[in-house]
Amino acid sequence: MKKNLNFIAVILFFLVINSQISVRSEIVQTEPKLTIYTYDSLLADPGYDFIGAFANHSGISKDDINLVLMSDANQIVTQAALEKNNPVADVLIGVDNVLIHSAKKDNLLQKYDSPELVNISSDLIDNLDSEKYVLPYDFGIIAFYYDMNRINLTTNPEIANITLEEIIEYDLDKKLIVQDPTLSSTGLGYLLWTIAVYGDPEIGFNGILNQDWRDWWNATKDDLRIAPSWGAAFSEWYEGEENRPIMVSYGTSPAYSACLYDDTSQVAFLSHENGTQNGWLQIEGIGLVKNAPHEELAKEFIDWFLSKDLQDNIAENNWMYPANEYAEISSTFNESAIDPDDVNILNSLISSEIIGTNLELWKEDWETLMSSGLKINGYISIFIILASIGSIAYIQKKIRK
Amino acid sequence: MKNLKPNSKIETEGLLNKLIVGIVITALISFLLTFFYLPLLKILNFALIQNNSFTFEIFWTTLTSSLNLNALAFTFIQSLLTTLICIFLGMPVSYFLAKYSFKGRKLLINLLTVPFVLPSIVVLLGFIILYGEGGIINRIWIDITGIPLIKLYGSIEGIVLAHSFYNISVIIRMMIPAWENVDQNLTEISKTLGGKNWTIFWKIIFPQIKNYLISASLLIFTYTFNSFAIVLYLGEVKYQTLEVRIFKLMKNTLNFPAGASLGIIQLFFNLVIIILYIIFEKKTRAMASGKEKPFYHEKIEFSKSNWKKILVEISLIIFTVFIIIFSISPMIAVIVASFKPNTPDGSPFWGYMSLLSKDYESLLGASPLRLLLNTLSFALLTTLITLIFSIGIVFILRNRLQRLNNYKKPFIENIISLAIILPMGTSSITLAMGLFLQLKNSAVFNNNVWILIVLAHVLICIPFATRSILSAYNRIDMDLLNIASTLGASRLRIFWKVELPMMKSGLIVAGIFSFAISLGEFGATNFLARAEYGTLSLGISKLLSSRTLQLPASMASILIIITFICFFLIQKTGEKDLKF
Repeated sequence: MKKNLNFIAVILFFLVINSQISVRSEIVQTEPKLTIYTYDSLLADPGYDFIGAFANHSGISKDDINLVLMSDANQIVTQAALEKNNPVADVLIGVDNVLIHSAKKDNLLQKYDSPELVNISSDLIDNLDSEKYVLPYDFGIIAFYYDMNRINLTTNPEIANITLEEIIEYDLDKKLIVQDPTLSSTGLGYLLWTIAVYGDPEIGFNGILNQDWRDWWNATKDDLRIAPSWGAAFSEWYEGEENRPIMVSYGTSPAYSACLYDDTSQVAFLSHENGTQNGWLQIEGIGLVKNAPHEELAKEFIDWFLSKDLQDNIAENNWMYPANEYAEISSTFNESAIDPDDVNILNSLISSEIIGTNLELWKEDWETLMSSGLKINGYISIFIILASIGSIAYIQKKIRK
Repeated sequence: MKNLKPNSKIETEGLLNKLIVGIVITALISFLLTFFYLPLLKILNFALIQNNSFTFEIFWTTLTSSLNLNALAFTFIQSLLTTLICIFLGMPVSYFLAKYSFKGRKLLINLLTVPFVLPSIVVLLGFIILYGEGGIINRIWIDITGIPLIKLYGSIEGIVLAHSFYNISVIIRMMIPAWENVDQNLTEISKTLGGKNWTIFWKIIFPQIKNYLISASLLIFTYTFNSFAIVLYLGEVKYQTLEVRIFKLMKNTLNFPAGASLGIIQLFFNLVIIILYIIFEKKTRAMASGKEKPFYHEKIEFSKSNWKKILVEISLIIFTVFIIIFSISPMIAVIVASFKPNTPDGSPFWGYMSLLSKDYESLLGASPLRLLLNTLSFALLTTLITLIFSIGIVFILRNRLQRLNNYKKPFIENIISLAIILPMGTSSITLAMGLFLQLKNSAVFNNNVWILIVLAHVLICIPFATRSILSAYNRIDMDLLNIASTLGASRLRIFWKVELPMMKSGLIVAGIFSFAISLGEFGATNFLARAEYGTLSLGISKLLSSRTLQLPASMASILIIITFICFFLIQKTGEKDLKF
């Protein structure tokens, strides 16, 4: 018995040592010179190798740049927040005008006044973050995107001048795909669009119409298709089988098919409350991480990312309008996309303080609203009936015995 | 050295045996500790410890929020519904496949098993083409009646349909041995004694298949209970399982305490189900052992004299064909889509040709060929490591078995099986999140993330592999081992010379099954993989948002075909040992 105990003790000893070694040995790092967090579709379609271009520009090796691709923009902030006390990343790319609130709340970034900002409109800078924690690199309007082969001005003349209200009236919500705002930034942009149009009486915010945004969602919730991400929405939209020819996307989306596939049958539209063309502007920004390990190189990268050198590639690789006013945009792109200058930007209605304090509540409200009124009570009663039949049969069997 | 005792060699080998057991146990437990239990503890830490003190407060507020309660209720309801539907659909088919012999019977069984390991993205793709709002089925139905038949999105029936597609093979495969084990003599006797068919079924046959049925149902229940991707896509926001809630809380609102609390609740239910499963699975093993009788499959015959029998046979055949169509059609839809050109003048083979091109490199983060190679090499590595660990596990269990004298059920065995099987019942989001929190700062995570991907796959595969190997091991005649022992062979020698060769078929099946599971794994890979370490199933999900269905469909077809080949190979070696 004693022998066995010894044996067990030796094993336990090895075990503790072993598991500790295996964990510790992994913390030895090879040191990159610059770490960038971004989402995986940045400049990806058809693709521009911005890491290689920056390596050329700055003279450091491409291998010294550690590019970490997350599956969406939310995750960039998530990851940075996890590492707040011991930052790994130097630069975050993809923090938009909504995400900036959580990034600021967690105190993840530091201010940086890039010299390149002279080439960027001050409206854009102020609409993203007037304090310059994140600097705009591109922007685009959130819009309804549809396929003219399946729905057009002849079949549905109302879309030329439609309002959000009329989407319900004309049953277009049965043809519409939106994204889940708790999972997708486009979805969140659309939620804010409806809030800016309808207002929120619970916090005394009027919006354009002085109504309640919850009413719109309540009226449409059984008819809308809700996808977890923009990509999922697009694949459902693209497959004709699904019979959903409209999705929430960007005003620049039609440019994608026009430029790459020479296909002008895809168009975008906005809502027209009070006679103006209304839309929510998404501005994507790049930010310097607080206590970044390689601050100087990070600043150089940000300057370069906002310079004409890179910004020329934004339009036809990231499919958004470049922030730099001197960046090149092809005429095909300009003709097919909705220019934010022609749009009444709803962002100015909701102050960033209101967004900052209410964003989480709005998301929660939205989720509760969409999942309320579940029809699962019927199913529960079926199970109760089945269970009672079963137990009666069982008891009868026992009694008979 | 002259007075060397004859049994000293045995003694050294005995020592070696002990040493090996020690090493195996150490390696195994430290693997499970580092990659499963410590990450799990880290998660639990978030839920129950606030400001260095233990509290249930967050746990309660999370549990009682209406959103989470709804999710809990829905998780139960959809699992129960799926289980019932799978039983209803799978039982007649398994009866038919067990009772009758015909050409291609085994091939059919394997074809029906392929959906089980398909990546959820591929399944969704097939489902949308078939059952979507404008899919084939609904279009036909609208032509006839004017209203759509199935609402795939935002409805319970859509989710249950997809889950049934996934899990129906579990019931079919697990019930076939059950029907084969039914004692035909008893049935004959009660027939001659004038028993009615219905009474015979309830009194004679049902008690014999009961345990198999319960353990299969429990498995289906756990798999659907932990379902993620299907519910995320099809449930819209109206229907969420606990797993989806955990994902949302952890990944998007960064609410680790709340996510971890839900994780605990999920783990608790899974634990209960798995313990029940282990109990019932043992009962089926006890029933199966000791009556190794040859079983003859009947031929399908339409004898004119017995119209009742013909009626039963025909309805069984129709039902089976219906299930086969249900199981295979989404896969066929995907394969057909891979040949459907994007543009009118496109080539039907464009999708497969593009696999070799570099056009999609920036979108995928690597060339399609690289993704294919990644997928295959991850699967191979996973298979190797899983096999090594599984053999280790069997080696330990066997030592315990022999020491505690054969057939007594040792307590240790239960503990070990539970420890091994627990990863199976843990939400893959919780698992990946734990791994991520534990290792996010390590060099492995930053530079060689493929190691973590493979290890995550190993964790997922070990429960399946171990049970397949154990199933083969349990068929070894204990007398053989005793004879070898009396003849002076050491334990180690017996293991290498007798037991290992006799488990061979189980080993091969375990290996191929692990390979197939790793091929299609999506959840954990999706959480961990980046850029050049992507796999085919990740590539498919990324390409779905591009402007072509043909390329992702081609990738999916390749996965389907490789998976099918895997099951074909399993059929050739020893499908008895395939354990879900």
